[in-house]
Amino acid sequence: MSHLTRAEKLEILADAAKYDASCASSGSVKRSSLGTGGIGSTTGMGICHSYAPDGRCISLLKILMTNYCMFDCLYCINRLSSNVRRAAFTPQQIVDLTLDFYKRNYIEGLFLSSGIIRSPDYTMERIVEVARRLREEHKFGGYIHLKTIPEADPDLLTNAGKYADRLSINIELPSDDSITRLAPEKSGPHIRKTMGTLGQRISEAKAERKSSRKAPLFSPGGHSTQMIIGADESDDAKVLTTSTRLYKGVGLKRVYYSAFSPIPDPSAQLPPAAPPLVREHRLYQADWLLRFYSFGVDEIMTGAKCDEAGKRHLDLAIDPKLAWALQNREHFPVDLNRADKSILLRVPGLGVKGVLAIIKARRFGALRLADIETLCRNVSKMLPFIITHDWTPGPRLDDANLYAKLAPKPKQLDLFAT
Amino acid sequence: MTGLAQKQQHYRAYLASETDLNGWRDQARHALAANILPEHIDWYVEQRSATLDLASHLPLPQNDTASALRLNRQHLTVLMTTLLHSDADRFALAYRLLWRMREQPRLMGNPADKDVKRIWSMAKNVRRDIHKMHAFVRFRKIGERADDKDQIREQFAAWFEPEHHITKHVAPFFRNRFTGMDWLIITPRASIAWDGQNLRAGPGGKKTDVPDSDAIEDEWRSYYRSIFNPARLKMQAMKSEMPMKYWKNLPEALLISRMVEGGIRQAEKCMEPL
Repeated sequence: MSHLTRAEKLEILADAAKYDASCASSGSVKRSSLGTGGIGSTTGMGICHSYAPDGRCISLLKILMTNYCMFDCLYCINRLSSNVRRAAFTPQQIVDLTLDFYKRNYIEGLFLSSGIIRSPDYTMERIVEVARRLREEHKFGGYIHLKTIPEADPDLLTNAGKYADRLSINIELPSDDSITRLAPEKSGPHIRKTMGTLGQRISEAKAERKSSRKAPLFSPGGHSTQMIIGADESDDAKVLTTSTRLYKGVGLKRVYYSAFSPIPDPSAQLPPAAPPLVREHRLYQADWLLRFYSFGVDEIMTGAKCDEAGKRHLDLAIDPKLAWALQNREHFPVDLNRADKSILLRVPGLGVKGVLAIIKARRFGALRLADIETLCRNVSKMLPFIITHDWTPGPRLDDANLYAKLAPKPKQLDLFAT
Repeated sequence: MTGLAQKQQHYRAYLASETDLNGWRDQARHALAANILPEHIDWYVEQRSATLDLASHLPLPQNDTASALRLNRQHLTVLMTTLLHSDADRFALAYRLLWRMREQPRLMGNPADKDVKRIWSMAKNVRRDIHKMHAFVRFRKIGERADDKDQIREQFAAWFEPEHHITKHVAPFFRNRFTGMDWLIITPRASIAWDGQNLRAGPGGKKTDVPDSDAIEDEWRSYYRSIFNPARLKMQAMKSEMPMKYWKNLPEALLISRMVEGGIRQAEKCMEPL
């Protein structure tokens, strides 16, 4: 193992980390290195320093400390019984690599996760040690996201929160039964309990900072989690219910959804194929409706489809807000010149930005359709649902074929689109 | 408007450079105080490759009566941001907006107005260019030196081609982020530098002023290749966030075409005969 170069280890341990969806570097405190003379700042906004051809933002150096693992979670490519190539960084190698990349302006910071080696405590200690060296020895002011191991000692969590901008614990799967079945060393209730502790410490630290600016920070960018979609039979109703429970119960900032990728030598307990990628996309859209559009899971699921097995999934062909609107047409049409913000937010095709622009613009006079076209991108989708000074949808809204008219025409997935 | 005679006169407002924002502010104030119509002012930038213009122009009257016009902070920021745009017409547009605001004080808040829409969209383009410069500058190490406390300071340089006149504007961002190292960013129209004590600005330069590689770039490319998921090709999404005009100065962009081909081959392998 020691004969691997840093670049070779990097290849293995970055490849192993790419199943973590999160790359966020926003929402933490603002830091500058001007006062410390060190390296690194956070602006609160997060910066994507590059984009890969898969369309994803590259903001953080996202790596595993090691992909050796003593756990045997069936869906994970790094599970004990998998025969992938293994590698391990020392804490100092990760510190150096982070600084080398940061100083060249390739990254906003580090997202460090790890397979479990020796024991959960030993692994967590080493993860925290990387963050400690960066912050204390190198006066590093960039973003640090640490993946936390729920089975580790709570004191180690406290230390992790001292150095990190964000902590996360993976919930792994939507239901406790699936966790027991596919990740035998993990326990759903224990994961949620640790998340609860984290959430509490984060909000306590926030409250203390309000009364004293010298109060210590604790994961000021909050905490998040990741759920694997399509590795078990949980339907979208179950997934979104679990998310809502986490948002409300433990104060999570984000739930990331990661479509299950089939791995080499799979267990017979796993589905043979990945779920359609658009499922992940629809779940993110629904998640947005939960967090920013004050929709409830039950409301979202009125637009869902039910399969033969009684599973309730989001409609893959249209977005969940449109699906909801088509099933709840009695709420429409909405008069864009009069409706409250909360009602405007429910119009298909109208996002938060569009709503704010409409509210601003209508103070200057009654809005016409041409004005809406100036303000919003997706007016054709809105037409059946809105009234403006010079537009009313008339019978369009009650058209029995409205679904077919609004759903995009099915087309072949174009791999060669450039 | 009073003073019919003024309508016939053309004035020239002189600006010292493309980024002479204070100059614009002062002259706009004078022009407003003297009631000069927007279409009667020629905004003249020194150093800009000027067209030969033989028409006679009066200098603006230097009228210092305070203008009654009040802008809120957000709108002022939008106007000043717009002035960093590369559009040659921006100084005139911004003045026209001020002029119109005398009659319509809330004009800037109306996103459906054509001038307002243009200003907001230009400001947005400038902000985007600033954001992309924060993101896509790539430093290359050029050496080390000992500072006055005998501490080693690493030295870095970067070449970048922004679309708008933003180079000086981004200097504090890079100082706050890279305080502990010396750096120099060269662009075609301006350069900025930090030595641990002072920020300095200077003239533009050439791509060849900066070394063409760095020892760490291979590892960065390894990372870029490894973090990519070939099962999901989304070139359109990538290009909209990282437009191709930036690629020539990004060390990782060399890999893109090969990675895409590899991704397509892998996808074909997974296809089954129909």
